[in-house]
Order: sequence, then structure tokens, then C-alpha cells
Amino acid sequence: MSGARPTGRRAAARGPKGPWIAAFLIVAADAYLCARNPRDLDRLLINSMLALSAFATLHLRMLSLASAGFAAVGAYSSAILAAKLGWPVYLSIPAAALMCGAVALVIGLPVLRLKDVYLAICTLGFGEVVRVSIILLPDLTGGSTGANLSTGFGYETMKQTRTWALGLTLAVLCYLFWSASRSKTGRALRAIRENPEAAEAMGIDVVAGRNFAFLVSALIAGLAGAFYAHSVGSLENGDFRFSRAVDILGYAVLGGSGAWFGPVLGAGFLTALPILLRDGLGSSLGFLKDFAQLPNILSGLALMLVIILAPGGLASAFPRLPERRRTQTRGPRPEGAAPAPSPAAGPKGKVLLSLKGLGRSFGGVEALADLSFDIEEGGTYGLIGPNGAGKTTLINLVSGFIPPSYGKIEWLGREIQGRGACRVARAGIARTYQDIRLFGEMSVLENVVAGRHIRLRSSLPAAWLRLPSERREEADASEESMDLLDRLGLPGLADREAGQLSYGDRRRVEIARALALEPRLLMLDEPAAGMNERETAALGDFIVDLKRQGVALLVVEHHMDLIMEVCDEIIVLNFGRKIAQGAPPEVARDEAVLEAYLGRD
Amino acid sequence: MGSLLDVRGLEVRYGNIEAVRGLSFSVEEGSIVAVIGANGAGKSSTLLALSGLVRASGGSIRFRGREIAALRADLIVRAGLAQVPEGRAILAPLSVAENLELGAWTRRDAVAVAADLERVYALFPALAGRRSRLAGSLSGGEQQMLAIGRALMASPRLLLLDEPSMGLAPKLVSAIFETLADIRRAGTTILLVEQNARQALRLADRGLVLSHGSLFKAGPSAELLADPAIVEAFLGKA
Repeated sequence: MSGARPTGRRAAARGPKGPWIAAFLIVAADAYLCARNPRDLDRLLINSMLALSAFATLHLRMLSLASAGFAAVGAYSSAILAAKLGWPVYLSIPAAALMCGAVALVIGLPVLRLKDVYLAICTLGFGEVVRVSIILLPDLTGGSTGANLSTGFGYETMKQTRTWALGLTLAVLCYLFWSASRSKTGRALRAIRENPEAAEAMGIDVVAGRNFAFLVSALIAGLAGAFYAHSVGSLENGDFRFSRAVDILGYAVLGGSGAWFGPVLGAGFLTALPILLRDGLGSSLGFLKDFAQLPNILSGLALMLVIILAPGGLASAFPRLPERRRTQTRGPRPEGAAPAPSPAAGPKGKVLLSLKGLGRSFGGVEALADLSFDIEEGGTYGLIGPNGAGKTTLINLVSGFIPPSYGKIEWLGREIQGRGACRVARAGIARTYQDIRLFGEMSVLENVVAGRHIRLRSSLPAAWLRLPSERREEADASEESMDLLDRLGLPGLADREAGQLSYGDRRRVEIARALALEPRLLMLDEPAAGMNERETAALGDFIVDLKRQGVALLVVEHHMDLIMEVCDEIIVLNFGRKIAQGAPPEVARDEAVLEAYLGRD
Repeated sequence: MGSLLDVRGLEVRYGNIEAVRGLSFSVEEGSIVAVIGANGAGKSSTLLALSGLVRASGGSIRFRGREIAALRADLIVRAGLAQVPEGRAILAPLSVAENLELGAWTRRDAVAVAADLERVYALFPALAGRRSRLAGSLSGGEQQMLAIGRALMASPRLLLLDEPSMGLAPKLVSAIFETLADIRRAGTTILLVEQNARQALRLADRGLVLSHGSLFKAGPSAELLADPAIVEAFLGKA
């Protein structure tokens, strides 16, 4: 339909020049800064690391301010190991990071249940606990007077190689972030960022994802803190105070939480600006000496200006590269490649899903009461009824988004109620949403590939090592996803941002994404809403096609033509209760159904 | 003169995507005009440009003789043009009555507002019985009624509706269309975007068929319903 439209690819090639100029200016300013005073290079590298630490959580829209606290734990752990226990300095640094990781796992359990500003306040509290603990343990930490580190095994070597080690560590971290962002894991994390609930329905474990992000954030902050300790040579309790936590968040917010390179730029900007302003103003405008705070005020204003000009952060101003693909243009699919239609579409007699006396109430209102029916392998079931009859509630129950108030849901004979959406998806049940929940800022293709999440086997280390098996799996996943888009009549839209599509196209992308999971049961919640008669008919053909492949379907829909055409059996709900069930012609004649739903003409 | 709304050469772009390309049409006072076309044809974008929620990148929109293409959305409502958005966009945590009262935000005539409120309840008796219920707890059909009622509370001369039948049970679809006929009888002009094209054209006086952001065909709806090319491309089998 839209094959002639320009794709995102050309937009990317044309892209604006502003962000590149900004990035160049930041790099140039930092280069000047470090050439003048090599000590500033350490500071820049450490700040960049801390920015990555904040990015790890902010990327998932977790507003954590724990990085400064973890940096303190890392700094003091490394200092104590090296100066008091005599560990080699370069062994104490990773050990300190691991220490932070352990702390993160422990405090993450309770803390990560919180969201938004509550998480922010709680993680700030963590930073204070660390800071006060340091004061209260003077024998170990030097207390409020600070710790001196200019002793210890390997200290001299460290002094000469420190900056190299820092640079190398940051480079490795950047590589890990970059390669992860192009992998299955990176895509899953972006999906969680965009819409945690829809991610869960793809079988992506949102809780594990958040824990992982918090752990990564802690490990990196620990590394940065440990390097800081040895770079400065002495630690003061005030190094990790409250305002430091805010600074670190500032790097990531200014840089942008969408792509890993943003925070590094943000750290570059916010590290160089105050120093350059102070020195520049101090030397050239001697008379301003009375206004010692002026550079700070100016850098604060500059920060405001940048955030106003690029509200999503610096990274968001860069054009996004479209998802890479092995084949750019595809010929028509060879006949043989089409999935072989099974001889007789329709129910096969084997029960997939069985609802037994299922009920759910919301605050005293019974949305669904005592509902029982079976879904057989390969069958197509229509679920109809007036608005508010409980149809979507049923889909939410089966897909694990809400637990039932009573009753059982059995999948292949095993009870799955209360198991959670992620595990239900992994069992092979996929769904779409009445109010479409795409990953709006991801491309159409990326959305569909995210749907394949549970079918991809490659691990994160495989992506870091860029193993050929991982590359191949990713390429295959893109290709299979392109096939799905083709089948749904959306091939020209693969590189478009999903949130920009028209309503009906968004619906079709969502169906493609659900199918990418290769479900045995697919639940469609009003798939034809927002489509005209012609498009609805095309959707009907597509559903018939799916039936032939043996996918069981539960379709909630008000387009009766569609329901009558594709369904083997229809279940009718009214006020949360089943009022009829049977073959389409029977249901269409049913008195109760005519009364409650279809109306008489 | 005579046209309530006069659109000339309307263009809407999102980045480098042209959603509407040089669209011209007019809407006569007191009529119902249906806009139909495939997904992505630019129907919703056109409505959004008319109500100022998306800036037109070119062309002119004259409403009651006044250019409104560059006007702020709230001022367009004050000028007498209100939209029922796609997907209803009701304010879920507020009550039914609060939703309706907010629809009259731009008005100062308290007496007339109170009268309109009763008129909306008379039009949608289902809402009258649920004044203090939270809008989010309503069924889909009731939410659609609420969205239409809320737009009517602005006392518009022109009512824009984006797919009012979406997601509604067949019985309710007929009820909503009947209500639209009532609203027109009460003097409000209607511009309606619908995927339920056949039913929309039966209700409307005129139809606009959009394709790839441009006007494919316009005419009295009876003619469009009888046009084999339109039936084939947009209406499907009866």
C-alpha cells in the first residue's frame, strides 16, 4: 500500500548536522582541557564511566540515584584492600566492583519494586547510608578526616599506568554497551523501556531486566569509584555527597537515555564546561574575581539551554540508524517456502486451553463470573458480547496480566493461573491489545524482532564476542520478521518508527509482533478496529491462512462478518456470564444473543 | 460564501512523510460530510490539522470565513470547532460529570452550559445514570458517548469525529449513528471520519474519498455508494 513512500533510511542519510557539530565541539573542548592538564583526563574518564552507570538504569526509565553511593563503596573497598590489606592495586579495583555488585543484588530486591520519584528518593537514601557508615567506621575508612592511599603494593606502577588503564576500561565498557545495544538483550531492554507490559507479553522478563540494569549500574559505578580513589590518592567523605549523585544523573539526562553514547557526551560537556568557564573568565576578565560563582551560574544556564533545545538529551538529536538486514530487497517468496497447509483446518480434538469456573471481580463488580470453556488445537474461537461484557478481562486473565478471583486456567493440562505474563508467553500464548501497545520509538521491524525474543538462543556474551552464530541468528530473525511484515501487507514500513503509523497499520504490526513469538494460541483483541471493510476482509483471509498453519485463535471482535467467516465456534458473553456457545449459524439465531448483542433489524 | 469550512491545498507532514498532500474541500453549514479511505490515507491527519492538534505545513483552513490554520488548538475550540478524538481520549480518573463540564471549559455562559449538560444527558441516557462514575470504569460504548458528549459541551458549530464506531458492538454502532443524525437535526454540522464507510455514507450528505493524502473523489454520498470504482476499492462486498 505504501511501498512508494520514502523510508527512514533516506531520512537517516540526510539527517541534521547540528548534533554532529555539538559532539565535535564537546570532544574538542575536552581535548583542549586534557592537553592543558592531564589530571583533567582522569576526571573526564571517571565521569564518563559514572555517566554509563547512570545510563544503565535510566535507559529502562528507572530513576536511580545510587551511582554515587556505589562509587563510594567501590572507592573505599578498593582503598581498604590496597592500602590496609596490601592487595595489588589492579586486583583491588575489579574486586571493589564485584563488592558493589553484591551490594546491588541485596538492596535491589526491595528497592527495585519502587518506581519513579520513590525509587529516586530511596536510592538517595542508600547513598546517605553509605556516607554515614563511612564516618562511623573511622578505623577502616579514616572516618570524616579521610583516607590516604599513597602506599600499597603496586602503587608506583599504578601511578604511571593509571590513565591508560582508565581509558582502556572505558573503551571496553563502550564496546560492551555498543555490541549489547545491537543484540537480543539490548532490544529486550529497549522494549522494557518503551512498554514494560507489552514486553512481558513477549516473554521478556521485566523484573530480571531491571535487576540486571541495576547490577550493571553498580558494577560500573564501583569501577569508577575505585579508579577515582587511586587517581586522587586520598578519599574524603564529601567526595560522594548528595550533589554528586545529582551531577551523575545530570550527565545521563543531558546526554540522553536512548543510546549509550549520549551519556558519554553528556559527561564530556558537563566536565569541561565549568572548568573552561572558570579558567576563561578568571584569566581574561580579572575584574570578575569578586563574582566567584559566576562560572557555576553560567554552566547551570548552559545545562538548562541544552536540555530545552534537546529535551530527549543529546543522543536523541542524532538520526537513528535503521535495523540492519542481510537482504535489502526481497523477491516474491517461493511457493515452497510457504508453510504447508495442514489438510483440514479447524479443531483437532486436542484441548490446549481449558477454563474451569473462572471468575474475576474488580472492587465488588463481577467482570467475569463462573466461565468455563475449552480451546482445542487449531480451532478458531470468536468471543463476542456487548461492550463491558468481560471479553478483555478474559484475555487479561489467560495471558497472566491479572490473576483470577477464583477458578482455574489449564494449559496443556497444567494450571497456569497466577503464573505471570512472562511465563504464559513462554508457554506459547500470545496476544494483541485493544488499545495497541507497540514499542513506539522502535522501528516496525525492531518491534517484530522483539516479538521473537523467546525463540532466540544467543546469550549476551555471544553478542559481545560477535560470534558468527549470534550474527546469523540476528540476521535470520530480521529476515523472518520481514516475511511476517510481508504477509501482513506492511513490507514498505519496516524502517518507520512504529508510533508514527496510522491506526490500522499499528494494529497489523502488533499482530505481526505477536505471531513472531510462534504461539500455539493467539488472542486478538479487536484486530479489525480501525480498518475499513476491505482491510477487514484482507484480515479475514490472513486469519484463515493462520488457521491452516494450525495456530489456535481466540478473536474478540465486533465486525460480525469477520467473526462469522473465520470462527469454528463462538462464545457470547453478557455482563460477565456466558449466554451462548456454539457454531456461528446457531449463535446468530440465538434469541438471547439477538437480544443482548446483535439487535434485530 | 455559505461554506462553514473551506479547506484549500492542505498539507500535513511528519518529518519527511507527507500524510496530506494538497487537499481541498468545503463543508456546508448543517450538513454531514463523511471522510473515507484506506489506513494511512490521511483522514486522521486532516482532522488533527483542522482542530490545530497538528500544524498544517501548507494550505489554508477557513472556518466561518476566518483563517484558522495557524490558530492555537484551544482558540479553535473557542471559534466553534470541536473534535471527538480517535480512541475516545476520555479523562479516565475523572467522573462522567467532570468530563462533560471540562468540555465546556472555554465557555462563560453558565446558564447555557447547564442547559447543554441536560441536553447531553437527554441524548445519552446511559450517561445520565452514571454522572458520578469514574469515566475509566465505563464500557467502551459509554466512553464513546462520553467523548461525543464532551465535544458537544463546547457548543460547536462544527463537530469533528474520528471513528466514533471503532470498537463498538453492532447494536451500539447503529445507536451512535442515530445520535449523530439527532445532533445534526439540532443544528450542528458534522465532519466524520469512518472506517465503517458504508454506514457513514448512508448517514452523510456528502462523502470525501481520500487516497494517499489526496482527494480521490468527492460527491453526494448516494453517488459514491453507487459508484462501482468506490465500492470495489473502499466498501467491499455488501
